[in-house]
Amino acid sequence: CDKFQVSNDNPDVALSLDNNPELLLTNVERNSIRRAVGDAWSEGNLMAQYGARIVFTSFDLFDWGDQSGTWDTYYLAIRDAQVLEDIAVARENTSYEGVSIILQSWMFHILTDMWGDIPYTEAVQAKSENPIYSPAYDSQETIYDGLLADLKAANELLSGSNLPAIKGDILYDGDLEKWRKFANSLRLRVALRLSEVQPDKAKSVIAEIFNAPETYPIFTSNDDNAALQFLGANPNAHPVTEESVYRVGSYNEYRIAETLVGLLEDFEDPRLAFLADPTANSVNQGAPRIEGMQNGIVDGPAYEYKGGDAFLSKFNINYFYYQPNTNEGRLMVYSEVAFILAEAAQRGWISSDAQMHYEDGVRANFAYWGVDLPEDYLNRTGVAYDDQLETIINQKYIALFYTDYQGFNEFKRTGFPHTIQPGPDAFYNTYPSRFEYPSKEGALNEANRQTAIGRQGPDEITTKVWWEN
Amino acid sequence: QRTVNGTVTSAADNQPLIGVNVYEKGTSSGTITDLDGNFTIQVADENASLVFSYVGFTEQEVALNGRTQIAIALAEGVTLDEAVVTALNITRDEKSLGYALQQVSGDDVSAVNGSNFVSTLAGRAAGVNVVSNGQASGSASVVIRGMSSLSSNNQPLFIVDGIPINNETDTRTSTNGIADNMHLDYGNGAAEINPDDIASVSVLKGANATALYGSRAANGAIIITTKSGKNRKGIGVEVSSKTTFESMLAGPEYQREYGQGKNFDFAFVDGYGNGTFDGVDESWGPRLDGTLRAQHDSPTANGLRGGDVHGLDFILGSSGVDLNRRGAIQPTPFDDPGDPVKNFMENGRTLINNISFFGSNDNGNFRVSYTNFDNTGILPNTDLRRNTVTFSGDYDLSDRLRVSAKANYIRSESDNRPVNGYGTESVMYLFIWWGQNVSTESLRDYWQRGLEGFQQFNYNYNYHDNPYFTMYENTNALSKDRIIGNLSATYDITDDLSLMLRGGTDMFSEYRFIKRAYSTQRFPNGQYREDKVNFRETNIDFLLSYKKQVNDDWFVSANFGGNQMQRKNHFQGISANKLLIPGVYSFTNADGPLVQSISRPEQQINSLYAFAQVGYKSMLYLDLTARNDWSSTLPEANNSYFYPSASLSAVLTEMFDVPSSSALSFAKLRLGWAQVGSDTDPYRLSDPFFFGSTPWGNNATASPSNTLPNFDLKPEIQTSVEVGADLRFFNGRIGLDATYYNTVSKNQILAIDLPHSSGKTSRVINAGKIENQGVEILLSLNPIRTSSGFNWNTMFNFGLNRNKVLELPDGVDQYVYGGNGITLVAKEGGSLGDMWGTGLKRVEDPNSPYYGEIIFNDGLVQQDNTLRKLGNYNPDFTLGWMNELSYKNFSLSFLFDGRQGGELLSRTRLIAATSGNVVETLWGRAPEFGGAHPGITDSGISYIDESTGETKTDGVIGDGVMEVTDDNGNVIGYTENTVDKPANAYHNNRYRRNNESEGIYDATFIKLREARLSYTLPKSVLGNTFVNSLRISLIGNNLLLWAKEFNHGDPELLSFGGGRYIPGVENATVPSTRSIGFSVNVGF
Repeated sequence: CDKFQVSNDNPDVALSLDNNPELLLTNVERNSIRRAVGDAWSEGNLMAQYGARIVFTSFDLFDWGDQSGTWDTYYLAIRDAQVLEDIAVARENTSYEGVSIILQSWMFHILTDMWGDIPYTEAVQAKSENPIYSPAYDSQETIYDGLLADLKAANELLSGSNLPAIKGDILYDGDLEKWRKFANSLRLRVALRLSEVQPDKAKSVIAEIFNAPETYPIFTSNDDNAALQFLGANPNAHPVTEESVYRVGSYNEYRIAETLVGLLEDFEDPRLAFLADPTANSVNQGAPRIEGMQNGIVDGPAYEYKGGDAFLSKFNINYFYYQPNTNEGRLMVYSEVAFILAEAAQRGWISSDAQMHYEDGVRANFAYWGVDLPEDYLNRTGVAYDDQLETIINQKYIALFYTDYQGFNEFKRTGFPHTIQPGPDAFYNTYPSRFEYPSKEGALNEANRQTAIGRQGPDEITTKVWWEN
Repeated sequence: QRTVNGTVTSAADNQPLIGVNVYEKGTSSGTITDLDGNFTIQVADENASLVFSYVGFTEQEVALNGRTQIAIALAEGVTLDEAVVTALNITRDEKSLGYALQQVSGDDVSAVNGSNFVSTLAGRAAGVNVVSNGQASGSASVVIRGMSSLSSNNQPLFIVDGIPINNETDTRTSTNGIADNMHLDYGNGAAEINPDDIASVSVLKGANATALYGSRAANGAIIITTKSGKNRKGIGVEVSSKTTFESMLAGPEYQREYGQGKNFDFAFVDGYGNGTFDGVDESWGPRLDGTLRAQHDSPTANGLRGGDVHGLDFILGSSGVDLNRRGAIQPTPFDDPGDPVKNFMENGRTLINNISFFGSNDNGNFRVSYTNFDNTGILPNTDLRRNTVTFSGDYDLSDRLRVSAKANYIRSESDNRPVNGYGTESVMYLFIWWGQNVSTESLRDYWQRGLEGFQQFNYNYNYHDNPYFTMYENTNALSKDRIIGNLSATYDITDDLSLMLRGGTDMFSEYRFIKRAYSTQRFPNGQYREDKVNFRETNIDFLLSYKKQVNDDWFVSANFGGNQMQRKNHFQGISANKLLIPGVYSFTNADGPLVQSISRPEQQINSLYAFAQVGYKSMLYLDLTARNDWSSTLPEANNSYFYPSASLSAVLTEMFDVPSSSALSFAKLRLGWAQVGSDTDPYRLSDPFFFGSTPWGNNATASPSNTLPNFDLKPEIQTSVEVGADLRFFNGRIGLDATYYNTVSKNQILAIDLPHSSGKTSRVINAGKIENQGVEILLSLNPIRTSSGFNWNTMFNFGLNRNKVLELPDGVDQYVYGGNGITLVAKEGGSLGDMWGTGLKRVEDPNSPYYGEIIFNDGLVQQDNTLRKLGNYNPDFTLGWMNELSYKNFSLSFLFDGRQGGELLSRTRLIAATSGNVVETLWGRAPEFGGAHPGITDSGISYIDESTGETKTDGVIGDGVMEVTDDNGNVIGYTENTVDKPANAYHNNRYRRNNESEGIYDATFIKLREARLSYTLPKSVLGNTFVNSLRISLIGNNLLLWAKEFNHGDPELLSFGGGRYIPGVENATVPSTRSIGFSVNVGF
């Protein structure tokens, strides 16, 4: 009786991808970058006050929730990347191995910046021989050390001359030299974040990279950008466009924030006219102008701010919404690398011309958006290089627009732009630092979560992460 | 043919009996006695026998022996030898059963409802909880004796003429990567069984009753027996016709004072927010006082409408508006067009016409029937059409060999099935938002002029689809062919021993065609999707039966059988998420790659079983069953599982020789113990990679499974105990049937959650223990039976179930098994159906005089995100009250049905309170609605808003307290809240959709579920015409609803998901309907 004419093996799945690791690579890149881009729009831009909401403003009031969707997506993508890495190691394919490590590092870095201590060394091992269902949390310090080491290792893996080719790479189309540059550039970003807590380590890593460009190539132009060009049709279009499921009304709930408008207006910066549309009312009146929305106003009054939605500017709707893929999914672009070097030089960590790097960064960002740099721009008040960190970070802040949580994290690290302040109705007077752990961690991994809380402080959004201290 | 006349009297008092059923044995020819107890009947020949039956009297059979005049005296008594259909379609005397079983006649399931017999079980069967929406084409969901499994859907097994059928609605869809289509109600599978073809429905509630069906009936079984041609000599014809009209029963309660906009202001420019609050899809705008305002339907200087805003170059790809083409808007009165849902809903209509031919001779019988079902729904442009042909035949090939064949062919078609739930494809979603100044009529012409086929016309372009555009352009069609049937042969090897062989199938092929037009919010360039389901289940059985009346005292039967069940359920969905040319719904018109998904589960269960019955002197009956299943879905080591059952029936009135003069006419005790095992779903024993539904350009994708499999899965085991009593008094005029049961399910196959940081989202385990215990009581009364012919039978049924989660897996302190707005959490000591959610900060100090009050901060409530138990959606108890009254040729029946207790979460209330549309949001908008609180200014009419300096007349001061703090900011006490907030800000904050506590209602309700008034034409009128019988009825379904608390719809009808109604959460579901109509039944 235990003979069956049917099979219990699903005919529509694969039991092994040992010969097709590229299917995993494409999946990791697509899922993680879509998440980063979606989060940048709906959370990161608000947290950095690039944008503000006119309705459903609770997020702007610092009701951040636990952002479990972000946590979940990255951990599953890290899981996928680790499966890819395992296959690569077993096949001695250093190319897939290196690329997988870089992607994991990029995601882990976002996770630890936003939550602090997180599962890292024990993460994604539910399927291993000795399965871990409740991974321990590592201290952020441990994680940073791990990221710096991993990215260095990835650089080495990708430094050989006879690297096997990879397929399925939608970010760099298999250009391993660019992956190597991304690894080192990302390592600069990670290292710089330690400027307040471990300045010596930050300095030595940045100097190590800067002083050996042959060993540690980094981005040298916008051609090297880690930025994904989406496709024209769902589900591979940019996730925040008409092509995807965003209704125009959902897009219209977001407006450019006063903070960003203020900064750009101070510099009479032409990037403002690119990033935002003039208000509908001003267009009707025949005198187009851009008006920012204030962050952190309670629902109701928020919708009446300055007279309502016709009196507030949207982000450039033709570029950011109606086109399925003009807007790229930015992981890291060249201008950020230039600003990192500018800061390192300004701090005296590397022997180089801070002003040159700074101006390089500004030029690269204008070029990135296709906005002409006014001739006098680099001499304008507030823009002209003055050996002040604030000047560098203000431009870096503009350049980090719509890039996961980078603008917010740089604000946390430096306090610039100083115009970022909690809104009038915000639930906290101090600017929050991190996300609460997902409620599922509390339900399913509580002991480890408590250990992290004991180390880091209460599980609240105002608790600072290690590198802020 | 000859005519027989006669009189029927009561043996006790010689009074005439009125309404006695008289029929010729072996035929369907019959009549009832008139006011004087007289009857006239046509019989076939002089040797015919007549059968007389009457409630409370012993049935009597009389051979005519040539007589044409006959007088009969019926003795009071109760007929206990009622035959009922049990598992494996074995007909048994009810008194021999050691478990509860409730049978509903075919007439009851078809008389009023006629479309979905499942919903007619509501209120009729104790312990059976049915949820349906009353729409002629909608689904019904059934749970018997509570939810016993965390992992399965808890639906019973449906069996037609011995063959299990599929009652699932297939909810697999082709995901298109991002924007999945929303839930559609395709109807539950069993609803396709035509009620006019049903002879009876048996509800097997507990494990004892269903033990022979094994795992698949762990949640009970519903056994449908279809009509045959038995009891009719020669050929008979029956025609029935039913016409009903459906209208909305209950919908949301809207405010009718304020229209679209914000801040009491509104002027339409383009519906994108470039006018005065015209991007707002909410009703916080001006009073509906007839003031002239620019609106979407106001005429323009260029002869267009305000909402005709898009430029003609839009067709070529520009997204812009062209206000010059549209022209200046000429304002129109801003007033109240009436309740949008009532205005939008239409009258539905259902026609059901049936004709059947049937007959028998000495060797066999047959029945052929054809039914046409034709429904149009209350939502515009929704329908369902069904044609059913059935055949039933039995034939004795020899003295020892009988063959039988049953077949149903069902073809269902629809041009459009309604979308249910919260999201842009559902019109009920739109009406949660909405501007109350907008008349639905203004949207009927749903294309922008000059842009027909390209761009819809609407009152708001930011978020919504025009509801008529949704119903007429974005259709969800269906075409399904289904065959259910079986062939069987029984051979009597000896007089006592017989062998039955049977093969049966339920197979269907279903196509679904989903169209989305250009300019749909979620599919701006249209969409076309085709889903294909191919289902086939076959069952092959044998049964060897031995029956022996050993002597006068002892009866023995022993049976041995086997079953092989095979099921294949293939699904393929393909979707083009962008169309090149609007209006061409074909994959050849796809712009970009097609998205497809496939799933092809297969399953087989082999079974061997045995059962035996021993009867002693019709007073004691013992039943024993044993079954072993082998399932293809379990690991090889654990794929065989055995489970037994035993039950005992003791007829006390026989055992103890109760005198016939006693008030107690009959007493029986039942006792049973049973186990049932269950397997799991196919394909759970591997850890594969799944392919993505669409490649990135030429790059395909794949991802590991998120579920960690368990290679040592064991079957689930359910153990239940049942005791019951069947008591009848005063010759059956009072009957009481009570049952207590206790069911414990353990080794549940659960996918328990893992933290995502572990790299998997769940892990399959065997664990958990869930108990259901409950009481079912049926009380039947025949309180009035007069000599003038008035008779009233009434029956109450009561069901109570208590569920308890006894154990969860080690290390798991809660198991989340669902949620939709709320979270369904199982915790040890809790109950299934517990709803958890978040709410508001309240005073938690029990010593404070303000204990429990809401704490306001600056006039606003504060969210407290800690999950707390908000209620349980299961009722405390359910009650049904069935009545049948008859007088002469009239009969009236009606059924009330209700539930006490249980909670529901209304998402309509929560969300439509933030959109200013429900009546609750009037509070504080103006002085007459409690605004401008008298504490604010001396006038009591207006106040100065401190932040703006403006004079306002609206404002809410929430009922609650504010914290009093010391200099260090520590809370030292509370004081009454005095801070005033604009009504919009207050309601928006209070009813945020994740403040679930603010949307909880007591779900208690009572419904007049069914009513029927019938008139049967007397024989004297029909005389010697060729018409044998004629009955005309007025019928009504879901006629009245009284809800204790819920004011936004039908508390029975909750959210829709997984192909059926899910209790607990009301979530923009299509309203339930009331149906009224008439039926005609003619027999020839």
